[in-house]
Amino acid sequence: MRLCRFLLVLAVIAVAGGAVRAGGDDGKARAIRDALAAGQPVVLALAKELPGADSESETAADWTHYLNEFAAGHKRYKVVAMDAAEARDLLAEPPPLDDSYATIFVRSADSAVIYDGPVLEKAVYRAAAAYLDAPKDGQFDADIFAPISFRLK
Amino acid sequence: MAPGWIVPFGPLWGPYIAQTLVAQAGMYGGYELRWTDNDKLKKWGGKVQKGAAAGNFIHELQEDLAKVGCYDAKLDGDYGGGTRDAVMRFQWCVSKGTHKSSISSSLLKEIVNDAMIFVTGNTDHATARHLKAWVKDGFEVTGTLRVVAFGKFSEFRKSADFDKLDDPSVGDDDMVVHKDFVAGLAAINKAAADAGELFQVNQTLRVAGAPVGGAVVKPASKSQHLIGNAIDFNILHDSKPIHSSKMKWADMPQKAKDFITAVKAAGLRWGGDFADRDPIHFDAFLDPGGSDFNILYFLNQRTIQRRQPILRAT
Repeated sequence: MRLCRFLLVLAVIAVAGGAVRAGGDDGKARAIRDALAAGQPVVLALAKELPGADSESETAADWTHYLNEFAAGHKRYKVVAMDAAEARDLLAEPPPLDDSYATIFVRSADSAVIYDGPVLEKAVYRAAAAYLDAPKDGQFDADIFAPISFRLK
Repeated sequence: MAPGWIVPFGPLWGPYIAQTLVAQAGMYGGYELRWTDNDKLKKWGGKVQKGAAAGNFIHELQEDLAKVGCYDAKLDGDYGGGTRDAVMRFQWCVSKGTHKSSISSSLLKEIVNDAMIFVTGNTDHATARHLKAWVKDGFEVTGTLRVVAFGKFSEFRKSADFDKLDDPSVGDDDMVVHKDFVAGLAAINKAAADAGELFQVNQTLRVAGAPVGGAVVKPASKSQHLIGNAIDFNILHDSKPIHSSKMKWADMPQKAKDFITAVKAAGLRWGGDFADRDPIHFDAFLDPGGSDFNILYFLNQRTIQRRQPILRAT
């Protein structure tokens, strides 16, 4: 009887945890959809694992720093960070994150490019901003970005 | 008047020792305060002092530590981790001798030997004497940062993306680094000159915390940039920057490889060797879990927050 009660409690906790997680993902999905519907470009910063403040990785520190600076200086974009699990839940075709990081710059629902790897310098974000601010048929810097098909689940 | 028993030390040392002991007795109740001491519990020097009158010795210590810039927490009379860290910061500054050029206190000059200060976190009498002298003279800790002009290094170029640090000591064409990293910059410059590459600087010291406008991801607190011990860069090859995505070893020009190899030989870490590659980053690694890192982080970030003067590297 006690065991049953314990298992029930565990099950409730697991379902609640799942609900919280789904709610978080759902919130991000809605924010992305709303932004695109309003004509606001979206930037999806993906990391295998989002680094914590105590991470000792210099790569994570640089990625975090330049991303935060970019987001703070470009409020006209919707910038969303997510880990690999969230990306799998949200994106129809999540990138493999071979280099642990990738950033998808979504100009509109049918126009997006990806930077595969951690963005570690402002020059990349500057090129991305040029792409995001360009007209619908504007080109991207093929030396830096690759086209990607972007679709939410 | 010196107590009679001091006379055997002779006329030269007797008065000094007497002065020291008299001064010491008035410092924090004469106790060697330490971790877990507490004013309310009348626990001083590691023991509950039964029968002693009430005292605010730890509160007084915390006040003094705050005055010299080592303590920024609550003045609560409790010798907890915050107070211990603050004492360690102060002891670190004294033992490193960063203050010597500006010392004027006669007490410090004549009585206290710097070699007596150890970084323990306990307020021994030598630490107490130094601290009181600093407070008396109005000294504050200032960290280990140094301003370095780009012009000091022939192969360095300032990136258009380089952000000048907001501090009155720093000019438009200046970088700021930890003093020990200046030698690292010199090594990079020599490696660049030998390899025939130019070195474009994107960033050195980084201000901790989120940028104005908020953060999308949690800002790092353990980066070498935060103590001034790292540099982000691009190699300028034939006058064009090699961006990070092109910094794969197999694809890099030989001159760039020679440059990286020479910098590593000089003792710096290259981010291209990290598990998650960061090929436009060099640093002089200091263990972020160690007390030196934590002390430098506190002192150097405080220098920036308070807009304190920063010495120029010679």
